Amino acid sequence: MTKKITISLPDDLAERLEREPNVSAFVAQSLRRQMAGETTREILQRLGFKITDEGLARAGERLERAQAGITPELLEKAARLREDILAARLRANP
Amino acid sequence: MINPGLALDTAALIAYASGTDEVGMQIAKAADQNRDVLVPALCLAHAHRQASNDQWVLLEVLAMLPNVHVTPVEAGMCAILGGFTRRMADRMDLAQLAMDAAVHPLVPIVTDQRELLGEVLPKEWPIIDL
Repeated sequence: MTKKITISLPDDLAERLEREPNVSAFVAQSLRRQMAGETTREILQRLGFKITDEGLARAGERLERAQAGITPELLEKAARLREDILAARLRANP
Repeated sequence: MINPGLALDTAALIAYASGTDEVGMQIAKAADQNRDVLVPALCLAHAHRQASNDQWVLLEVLAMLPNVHVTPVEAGMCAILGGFTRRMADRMDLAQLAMDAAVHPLVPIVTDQRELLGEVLPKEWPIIDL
């Protein structure tokens, strides 16, 4: 079942949506991801984890620190490694 | 389609199953960013092997979270998995983690084995130390 709805969006979001060949599918997928995130957070809280804004901010800082060392050279190395592994997997199981 | 924003090793899974808020928060942060969390099947299996009854249940719940993806070992992975394992002190769980991470370039890894992962991944790979 689907339902047709009309929504209002800021110009920048509307412009982004205009580039999608299937706006409904794009919005549905974005919404499903958002709902999955909310469900994960709710379940973690029910399990006893203390999910706080401060804690999430610290988690974000840890992520940023870990990613701070990403350079174009590292991106290139990682891309080569990915290609090597995918090629080897394909050779082993064509 | 998977959009990974984090990968967890065996020690990270055990820390999660022990109720360590820091790891729970890291998973929640990935969820908030609408990103997926990669959990290699062999890391999950190793974590189960070490888990107490209470921890066991938490690991089962983790595998069912909507943004957690347990990645399987497939036939085409065996040769590289064996080679990586040999270079990683016989830690086949970490070898699968490294393979899965390599296929999703520069996904940050939560681990206590930075050195071992550096045997097969670039040493500058984004790591969140436990």
